[in-house]
Amino acid sequence: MAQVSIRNLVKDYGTMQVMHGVSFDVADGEFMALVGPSGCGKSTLLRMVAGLEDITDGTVEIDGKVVNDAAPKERDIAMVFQNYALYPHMSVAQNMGFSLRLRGGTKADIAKRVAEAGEILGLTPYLDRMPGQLSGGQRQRVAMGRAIVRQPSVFLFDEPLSNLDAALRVQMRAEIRNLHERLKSTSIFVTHDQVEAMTMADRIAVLRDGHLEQVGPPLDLYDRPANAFVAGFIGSPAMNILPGKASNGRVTLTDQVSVTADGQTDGPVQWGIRPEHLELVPTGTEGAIPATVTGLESTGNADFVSTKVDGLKLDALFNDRPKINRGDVISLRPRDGKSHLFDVNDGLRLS
Amino acid sequence: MGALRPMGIERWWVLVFLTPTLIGLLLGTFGSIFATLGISFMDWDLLTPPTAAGISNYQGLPDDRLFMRSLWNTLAFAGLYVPLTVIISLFVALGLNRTIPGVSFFRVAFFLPTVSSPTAVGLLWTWIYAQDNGVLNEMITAMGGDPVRWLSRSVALYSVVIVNVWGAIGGGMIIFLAGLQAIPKDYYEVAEMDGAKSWQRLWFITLPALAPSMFFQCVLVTINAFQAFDYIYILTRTGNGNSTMPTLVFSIYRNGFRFFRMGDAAAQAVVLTCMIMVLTLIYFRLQKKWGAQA
Repeated sequence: MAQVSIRNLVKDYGTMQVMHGVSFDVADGEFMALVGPSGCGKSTLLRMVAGLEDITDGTVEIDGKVVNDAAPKERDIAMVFQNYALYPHMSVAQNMGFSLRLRGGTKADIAKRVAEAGEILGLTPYLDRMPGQLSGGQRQRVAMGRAIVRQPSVFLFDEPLSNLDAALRVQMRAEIRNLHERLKSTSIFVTHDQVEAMTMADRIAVLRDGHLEQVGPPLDLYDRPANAFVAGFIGSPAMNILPGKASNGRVTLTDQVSVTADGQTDGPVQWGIRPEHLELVPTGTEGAIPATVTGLESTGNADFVSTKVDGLKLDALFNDRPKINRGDVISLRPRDGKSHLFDVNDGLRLS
Repeated sequence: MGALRPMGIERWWVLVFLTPTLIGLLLGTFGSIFATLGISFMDWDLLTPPTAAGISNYQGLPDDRLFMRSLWNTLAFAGLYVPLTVIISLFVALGLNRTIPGVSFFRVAFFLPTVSSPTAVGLLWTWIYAQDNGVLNEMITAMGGDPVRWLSRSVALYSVVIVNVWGAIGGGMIIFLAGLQAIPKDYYEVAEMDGAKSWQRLWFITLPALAPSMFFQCVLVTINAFQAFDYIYILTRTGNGNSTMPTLVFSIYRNGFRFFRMGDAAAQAVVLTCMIMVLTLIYFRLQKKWGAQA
């Protein structure tokens, strides 16, 4: 069990700086997701915690000790890699027991701990197989097993689910979360998939271009994104963010359309509303936005409707199967208190 | 897939276009194999018509002193050359498989013998090994030692192994470098997290991952060992056309083209081929047992 503290972490590759002073804490036993688009530095950050990348500046502390110069094996961490990196010439049991073997564990002890981990992960029938004989999901479990046999104080996951198919990903999501409930180890989980982050993490850290954008519990990020980037990144489908001008408690989007502003500000702003926070109302309802339907995608449990409002793109999400067709003009009303205002320049939250 | 398969008249054209290659293959490769096999059962001096000899050419081999000495020399040569070449080129590849300044220079330097003319390089080594005024002996006498007869019967085996290993390191290095660079970096990172020291990473990750390259290299080097001729011939030939260290290929050459005993030469060639085939087969068996992993 351990707490991880990341302080002003900086990473340079030659003259190129990819991490610009990131700081956050992961509490003991917490499941933290690092999320962000490709190239935001989330994997680099994880690898710096793991000791696989040098730290240019700042510190990584594990359990109160600065580990910047400690070798990976001295940090009491285990990492699950994206492509699992199972040793192809070793059986499942040998793969899982390798770290214990290197530490000079007795054969009986290694076998016992491998058997326990195999039991937890449902790998018992496969312990003698070679990695090449396993399915993607089973390999993923072996990679997890390799991490848990060591009983490390911190688990690091580098996009461990991205090589699995959609159904398996959902299943493994739950399994990893259950495993965490059981082991209660401090975990840092890197993913580019905000749904994974939302569903698995106690808290999420959103990174962009080597900057930390926001840290908080998933629903805080969803309800009160700190800036327009987080607003657009967290939540699926993504939040509508439209340029407008705020004055006297209203935001003017186009010559014809204005909406109530949930916040006190004047001047140019970015107005945000999540697709699921737009209501379909009868034409002529007060505060409604007239919108032309340009696209319709139904998944059965939800209908995703893309519309145009005076040339602006506005998406809506319904789950009561409204009877609308492409080309219809519908009326959409933002739910009270659900819209967001962001600064036009730095994107920071205004409301 | 099916649509790409030639149909009807096209099949004939395929055959027509392949004919030159097929004729070359039939005459060049299979032709010479069958001819050698046939000649090995005959007596033939290239001038008079061949006469049937049954298996007498084979029966005579154990009594052929040149052949038996060549056989022994070839086995001794292979016994030293194969392990030395494989091990040294593996270590050279390990040393050069990193990003250090000047690494390209060393890779080229080690590969140079492979692309140089064996005759020219062989002559160079003749000078290095020369008894009087040779580079090595000059150095030895300068340090107060007695000159060594590097290419005499008792020492030639080792001298020749040194030159051949030196010449083969480059080729082996390339194969091992390719094998090393195909090992995903992740294995090393996982091993590092698992707490493996550098020699443990070499033993548990690198060497098992190199097993296919190793088997391939062993097969190749063994075949080369049994066929070794150029350096050895240039270094060890004597004034009377003999050699201080005859090998099987030398014996075949001498019997066939110096003594014009084509039947004997062919029989020895068949024996050599069979030995190479048996060894290769053993390697493949071993690879199936240990090397083939998913």
